[in-house]
Amino acid sequence: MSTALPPAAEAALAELERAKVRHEVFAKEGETWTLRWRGGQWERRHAHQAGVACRLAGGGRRGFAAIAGTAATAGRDAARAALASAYPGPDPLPPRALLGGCPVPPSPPPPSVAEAEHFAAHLADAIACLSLRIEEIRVVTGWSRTLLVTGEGFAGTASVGGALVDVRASQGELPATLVHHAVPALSEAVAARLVEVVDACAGHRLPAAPPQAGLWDVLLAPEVAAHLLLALLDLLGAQPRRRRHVSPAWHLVDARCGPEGLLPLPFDGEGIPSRRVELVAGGRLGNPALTWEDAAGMAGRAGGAVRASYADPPTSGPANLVMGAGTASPKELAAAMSNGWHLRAVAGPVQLDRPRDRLVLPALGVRLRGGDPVQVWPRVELRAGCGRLLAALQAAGGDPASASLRAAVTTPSLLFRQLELG
Amino acid sequence: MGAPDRLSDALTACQTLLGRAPSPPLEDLYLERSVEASWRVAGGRVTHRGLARRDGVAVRRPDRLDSSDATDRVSLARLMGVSPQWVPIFPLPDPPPPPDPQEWLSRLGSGEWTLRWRWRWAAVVRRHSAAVVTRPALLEIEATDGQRALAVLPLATPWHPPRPAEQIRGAPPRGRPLVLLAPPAAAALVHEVIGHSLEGDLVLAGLSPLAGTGRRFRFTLPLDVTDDPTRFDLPGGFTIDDEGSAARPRPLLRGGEPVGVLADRATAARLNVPAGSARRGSVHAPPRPRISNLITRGRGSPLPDLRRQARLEVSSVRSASFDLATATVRLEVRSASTLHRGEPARPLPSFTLHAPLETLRVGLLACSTQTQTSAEPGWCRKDGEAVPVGSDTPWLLVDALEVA
Repeated sequence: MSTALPPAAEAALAELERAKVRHEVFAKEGETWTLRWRGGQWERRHAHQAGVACRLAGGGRRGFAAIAGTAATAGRDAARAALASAYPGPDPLPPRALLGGCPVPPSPPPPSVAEAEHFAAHLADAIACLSLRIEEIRVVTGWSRTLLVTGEGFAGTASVGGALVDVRASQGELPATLVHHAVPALSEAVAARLVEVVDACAGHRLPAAPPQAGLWDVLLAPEVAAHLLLALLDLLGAQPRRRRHVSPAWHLVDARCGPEGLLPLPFDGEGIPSRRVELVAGGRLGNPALTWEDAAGMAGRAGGAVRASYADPPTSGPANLVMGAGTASPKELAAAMSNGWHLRAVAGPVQLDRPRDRLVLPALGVRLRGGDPVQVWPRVELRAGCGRLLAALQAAGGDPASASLRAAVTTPSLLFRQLELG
Repeated sequence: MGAPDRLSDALTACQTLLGRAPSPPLEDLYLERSVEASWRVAGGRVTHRGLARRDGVAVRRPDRLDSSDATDRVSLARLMGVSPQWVPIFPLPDPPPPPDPQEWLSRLGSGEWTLRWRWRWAAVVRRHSAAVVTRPALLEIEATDGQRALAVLPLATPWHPPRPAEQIRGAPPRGRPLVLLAPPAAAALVHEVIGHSLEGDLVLAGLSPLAGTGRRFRFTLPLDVTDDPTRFDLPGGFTIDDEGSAARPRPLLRGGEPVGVLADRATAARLNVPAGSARRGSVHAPPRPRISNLITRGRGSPLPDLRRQARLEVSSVRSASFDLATATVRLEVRSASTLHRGEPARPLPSFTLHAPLETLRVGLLACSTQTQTSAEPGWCRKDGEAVPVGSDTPWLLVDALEVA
């Protein structure tokens, strides 16, 4: 096994084995190509990112350190730094018996640079045909490979690849709207859908006026719903568990092993096999998966570790959120609101008020009456408490799309009854 | 040969290599080593500790940036497009050991915090110059509500740690009260409205409401604002910028009127202003015109007089933003209290203030004689890249901000 290890991981393992402590080596390597159109010109970036992290435990002490690079010196330095900075604390490493992997769909090969260039040029032409002002187009393609090895004989690898596309466009006096999509591969269909979304967000000619403050039926486009779902999970995690009324329309899972969603992986950030975690489903709230340490010895709660990068220790969090899709098209959902607002693109970060269990989500909104657009406002604020959001979901659409936020989120449009707008 | 000599030799060798690299020509080579040590603290005790060291190198050609976390000869040669045998072994400097957090813990008291010590070394190599970028070591303090504050090490005496967020119930204020912004909040407003609007790339793109072709703008309050990277007591300090231009104080506003622009080399050439404000969020990000430390001054009034006039005082904001298209500033207030006869009366829950620039232009009424450096805004994000920034700001009396 060790012959297949990159030099950094091999050197780290050798160093840690000599120290005779429980240990784990996590190595990650990846490349990204960024094409960015702004200010009338294309900018190109290529980044190679790689590093190795070591966690260890023994004799009532624990340590964590990470060093950039792929060479053996990086691995040795990471191991030595973890040993040198060890401090008193409980063993955070899961037992060997829990480690393993599950089968996941193979990651498609990431789009090539030529494909990305072609896609970006095609997208820019298509958006220009809409007579919109393009402020920015960003196409990022990339791949990453992860290796997790423990001193007790577990070794696992995982690979992911894909692309992100951001378009910022505007028309008239309204501020620019940002549309974000994450996809496993670039295609003409992806470009066509993006053009459609950009047109829906920035291509309207409607009277601009804010919503009258109060309760409205609200339809969230997938791009907006993705932000809402992550914020909702944050609020649920911050509050003590209590009974809540949950609409049966909710079916939110952390599909860590796929097959749905953007980023299925065979194991979590600590090597525990990925599993499907029901978060809000069947009219009730489920328990999110946690790191081994946060799970406090309950194996059934572990398996929820994520690592933002090689340099970050594992933390509890969702990895591949998927909201179950329905059958209705966004048009049918819009028609189901006699008089409501369609929030089509986020207009700023979600503000969380954890003590009051509430969130504020700013978004570009279009008022629909009988399904027809009649009014637009660039920053409609959706203000809702956790309980209201759980109870007021009416339906999910059949138009799932993915976003790459702090977790991968795949969600269709979501229709809520009577939420507060301002 | 000592380490500084080997470093100097390697920089000189890289300088020579820039000329040897095949076309298109290399603009610069940027090397960086950064270290972050972190401690999670609860009840005055360290519960988690970690250390991360990131090395990297970036090579810039016209309209293209190639970067890598690997700084070995082969990786460097690949990035530069030259043979590895020409590339020197680059002795990146050893970082200092992370400090003992006990000194800070005693000042923070109980509560839950995450502390991060950040040390960053960089060098910029151009065809005719090679220099090391020196920056202050930083301490970041993150509260449980996500609020982050930055301080330069060693900590100044006296040093006021950030306060944990308080849970306040009750109704937020309404309408357009006369607001006194304390230095952390005033700094966020100045940073967003004045600092960002005078970044060269935004000015060139025609997005700045303060400067650019055919624009004349003047705040009625005759404020002076200077971007000063030479202030090493503040988090945004540096000796040279990330393109190798010397750091210098840059006047941005004089008597309430824009007089300067923050520029990197590219925008400086097009705007005919000096360069020196190029900063990179990381080795993988291209340098862009960015704010460093904003120093705000004005003909001030005594602080007690301002407090007697104001209806409420905002002591801290969670975040601030300035929408260039609508020219509207928003402050997400974290802590504030009503004022009664110049004294704090009732703490307020969090709320949002906003104002269009035109209202703010005439609505900045007065500033205090007293100024204060503050740990906010701390980090400035632009295009997803964060750089540390500092401020030295007076209290500002504002009649323009409306409660959302």
